Amino acid sequence: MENLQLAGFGKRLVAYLIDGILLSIVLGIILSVFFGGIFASMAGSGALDGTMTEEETAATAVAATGGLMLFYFISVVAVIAYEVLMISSARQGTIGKIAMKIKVVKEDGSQLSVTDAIIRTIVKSLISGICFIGFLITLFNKKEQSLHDMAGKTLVVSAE
Amino acid sequence: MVAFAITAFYFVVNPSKSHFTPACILHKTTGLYCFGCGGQRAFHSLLHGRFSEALQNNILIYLILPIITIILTAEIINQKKAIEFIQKPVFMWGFIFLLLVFMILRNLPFYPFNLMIPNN
Repeated sequence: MENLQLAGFGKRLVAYLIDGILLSIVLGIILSVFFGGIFASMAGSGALDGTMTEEETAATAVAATGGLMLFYFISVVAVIAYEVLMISSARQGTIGKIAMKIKVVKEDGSQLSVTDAIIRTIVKSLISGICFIGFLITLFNKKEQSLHDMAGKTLVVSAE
Repeated sequence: MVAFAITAFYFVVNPSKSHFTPACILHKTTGLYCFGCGGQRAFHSLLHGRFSEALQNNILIYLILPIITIILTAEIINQKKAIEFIQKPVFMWGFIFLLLVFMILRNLPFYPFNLMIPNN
C-alpha cells in the first residue's frame, strides 16, 4: 500500500464517464440493430395496421414487453461482463481507466482474481449505483474506497 | 476540463425535460424521493442563478458541490494533503446519516417537509 499512489476522485470520475459513454454507444448500436429487427418484424406482421385480431395484438404486446425486458437484462449482464473481464485482465482496468492511466488492485497491490472482480462489479452495479451513494463515500475516506472497493477489498491506483 | 464540460452540459440541458440525463431508479420504481433526486435539476437551477429553486430541488447541492470542488481542486494542484481532514470515518458516517435523514424528511407528505420535493 505504501508505494501505491491513489488515483483520486477526478480521474476515477472521468474514467467512469468514458466507460459510460462508450458502453451506451456500443450497446445502443448492437441492441438496437438486434431488437429493432424483432420489433420491425412484429410491425410488419400486421400489429400496427389493424389487420390483426385482438388476441394476436395482445400476444404481440406481451412479446414486445418480454423483448424489452430481455433488452434490459442483456444490457446489465453485458456491462457486468465487460467490467469483470477488463479489471481481472492484465490491464487491470476498463477502457476508461486505461485511458486515465489508473488501475484496480487488491489492497496489497496484487491483481484481482475473477471472483474479486465479480464481487466488486456486482456491488458496483446493483448497490453503489443507487443514487450514487457508494460512489460518494469515496470522498470521505483516506484510501479513497468506494462501497464496491470496500466489498472487494480493492483500491484504485495510478498505473504510471 | 471535464468538470467544465459537465458544468456546460448541465447549463444547456434542462434535466427535467431531457432524456440524456440519468433518471432515478428508486423514484421510478417506488415513487419515493431519494437524497439524490433533484440533484441534477438543482445544479441546472444553480447555474442559471436560481438559488431558491436549487434549494427546493435538492438542498444537499449546497453541501456536496463545495466538497467536490475542494477535492477536485486539491487533486489538480497536487495538494492532496490539504483534504485529509475530510477523509475521516466520522465525516463518512455523518454524511450517510445526513443523507438518510434528508431522504426520510423529504418523503413526509406534509408542510414544511413537502417543500423539499423537487419540482418537475
